[in-house]
Amino acid sequence: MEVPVTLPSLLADCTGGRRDVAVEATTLQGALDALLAGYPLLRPHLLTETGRLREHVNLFLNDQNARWLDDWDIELSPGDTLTVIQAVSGG
Amino acid sequence: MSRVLVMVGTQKGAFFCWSDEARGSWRVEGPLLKGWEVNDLQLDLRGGEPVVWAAVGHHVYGATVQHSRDLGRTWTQVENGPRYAEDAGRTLERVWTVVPGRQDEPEVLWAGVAEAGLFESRDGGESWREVPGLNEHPTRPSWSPGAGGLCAHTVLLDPADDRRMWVGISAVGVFRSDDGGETWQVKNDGLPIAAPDKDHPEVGSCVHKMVVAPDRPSRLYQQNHQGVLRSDDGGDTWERIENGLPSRFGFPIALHPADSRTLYVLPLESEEYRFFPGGRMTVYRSRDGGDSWQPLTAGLPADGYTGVLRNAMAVDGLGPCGIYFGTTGGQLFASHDEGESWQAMPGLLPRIASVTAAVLP
Repeated sequence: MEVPVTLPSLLADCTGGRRDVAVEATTLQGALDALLAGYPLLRPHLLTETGRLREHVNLFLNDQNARWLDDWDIELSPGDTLTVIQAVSGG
Repeated sequence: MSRVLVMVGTQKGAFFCWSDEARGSWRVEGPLLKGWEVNDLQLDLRGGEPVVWAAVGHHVYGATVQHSRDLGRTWTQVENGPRYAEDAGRTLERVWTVVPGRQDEPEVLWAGVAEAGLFESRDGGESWREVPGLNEHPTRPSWSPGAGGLCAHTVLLDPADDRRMWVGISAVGVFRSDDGGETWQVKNDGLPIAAPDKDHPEVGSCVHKMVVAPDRPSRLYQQNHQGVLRSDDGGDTWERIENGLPSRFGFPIALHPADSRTLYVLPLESEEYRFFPGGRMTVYRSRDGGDSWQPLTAGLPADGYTGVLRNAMAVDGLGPCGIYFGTTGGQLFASHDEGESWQAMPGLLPRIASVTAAVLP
């Protein structure tokens, strides 16, 4: 299933200048894995050394913050979208 | 006629300032790397064609190394950049500096990072590995961060001895390797120690910036959190050189490219306030290796309640040499006569983190 992913403009250099990309996946974790496999330059910007999502990086599955989901192996449904967005902070 | 390029890294991008040898007027390009913190920019001419290396980061999206092969028009992120191993228990918080290796090693680069560590590339920046002799130094359990974090911000290569190099780490001190980076020794003898550790009392000196004299590589100078110091034996011992300075505190230090006795510092009003003393923006120059200092103010503001960060002063290679510094208030100042007079460069930029200068044919 093709899952659309929207990225912040600051990271568009990691995806050939595009903020909107698509990955093939059936689960949330699969979508993140596919995103990083297709665009490896994103890895240090999204994940820490231990593979956790960076503290101020949020990944939204539709309108849900994935950080609060217990299981990232949940099945995706047609129409689901992913959005990477930075937490509200800074100046 | 040669072109002069002053590369400015800021909290939200880079700006390239171009001039000719007269350095009387400037054309500013930018923002480049828009939105990214740019902590250091280094021009690498070893391979013939110019490559600009950038130490880039962001408080949300982390730190990477980028490079440009067209003098800043386009940038490429290094895919396998400096990164601690998953089980290292450390985080790459910031890349502080990217330093091209020696002329006869065009594929070698070094990176100093926070959380403090040294990384090395031997394939032109394609991949990087930790330098374990420093990163796992026996004193490491006694390294404690300063206000700017636990950062390895300065990497110096001995211009005469291709096995010798130095690293400066804030709130830890100076380390020297005499075997190409395999092993490292603490070189803090004579440096002030901010908070002596009970297990390793030799570490704990907060070096802010350090330079090595190209024509006399046993001579080093440093601006420390607690003073300005000189070494004439490659860092084995240090002595204070503060006669005539209004304050011991400051961040950058710069050395004349052709005269190891001429150097420049920017004293700030104590660690508590960190702006120019009394707001009087002043560069201090020594012509005698730091034995005495003279204030230089012509053309500089008298109401400069701002500061200058450790990487934000540079000299070019022309004669008379040009000197450049950028402030935390986003202003750039330049002198084309070794500091005798100064002019504000165009633009009001984000907080300036780094300034480097180069002369291109």
